[in-house]
Amino acid sequence: MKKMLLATSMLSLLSLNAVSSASAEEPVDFTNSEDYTEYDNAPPVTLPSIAPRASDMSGYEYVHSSSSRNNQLEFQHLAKNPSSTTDSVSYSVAVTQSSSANVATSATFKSMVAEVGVSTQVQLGTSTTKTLSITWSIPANSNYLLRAGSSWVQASGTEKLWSAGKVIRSKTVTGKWTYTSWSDKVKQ
Amino acid sequence: MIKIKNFIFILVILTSIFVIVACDDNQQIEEKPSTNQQIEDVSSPISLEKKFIPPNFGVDEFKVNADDNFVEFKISYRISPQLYDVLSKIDSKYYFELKIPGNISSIINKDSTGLVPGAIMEFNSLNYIVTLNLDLEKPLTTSDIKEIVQNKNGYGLYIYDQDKDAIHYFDDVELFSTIPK
Repeated sequence: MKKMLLATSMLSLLSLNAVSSASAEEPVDFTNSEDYTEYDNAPPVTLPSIAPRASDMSGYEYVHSSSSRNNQLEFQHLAKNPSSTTDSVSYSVAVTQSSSANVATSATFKSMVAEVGVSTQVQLGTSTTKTLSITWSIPANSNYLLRAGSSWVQASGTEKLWSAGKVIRSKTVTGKWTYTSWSDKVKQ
Repeated sequence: MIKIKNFIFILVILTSIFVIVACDDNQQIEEKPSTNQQIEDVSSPISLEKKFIPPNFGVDEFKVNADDNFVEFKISYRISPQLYDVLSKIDSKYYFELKIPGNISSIINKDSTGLVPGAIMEFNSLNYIVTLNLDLEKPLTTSDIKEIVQNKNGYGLYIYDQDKDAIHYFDDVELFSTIPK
């Protein structure tokens, strides 16, 4: 009787572990097992038919027309160094990298940037600001005009929407983005 | 007798279920620390903005060497103890870039060196040297090499932070090196 009970207990534990491990792992693929049965009444697999189709030219196209690069003056200072040794002047400016455009898709903006050849460091519609410090060295016994600013690009063109080989919409688009800061000094 | 047998059978099943559920709970508890680890990893960034303004950063010497198809720039620089601490905290992730002046870039057909990592802060040292190299496609003539080595004026020095954003610009590194300490 005891042997019977022990055997029953072990059997139940084994069966539970088997169920548990099967549920914890990925579904078992029966296709390679002996239990797999091919049903004669299974629905037939429908393969895609090969037939001639019309060329589907759909999507946006950017046609570039013009671009310009501009410098914006943000700081100007006349530095005087009457001493006999080199001096320095430091200035800190918040530099904002931004990009904006009235385009329907970011792919158009990427085409615009590629056409101009000046890359933007931020994604379309975003901006980041960091402080750039500039240190000018002023030679002994001299006066210099110090200048600093940012450079930005403006571009314009046409965004065309193609569908099934035809232009269904066309509009003029413009984009603007900052790409660098600049500084110089001019002897007075 | 049959009732006792059934009772033991049910007891064994219940014990097995209890053991399986307990194991699952342990697995979930073990997975939780990884979530906490992710939260700990998010830390506030340390900014390098305005940290290189003199006298926190100074250049002691700017050297230029040139070969037939190779130009080497060496900048010996010093930093303040405050800047040392900041750079140590960001694992010395800062970069230098030299802007080549027009009279030299027309010879070597390059207008900058590209970004070069700054020296790693170690041993509490406040003096370091960074070397920026340029490999040239076209061999230099003897007069080109003489012009490059002797004329060191007008090189701009950019410093970039850990995000590779420019945070400082020195307009003339050679002239800057002549400022008394």
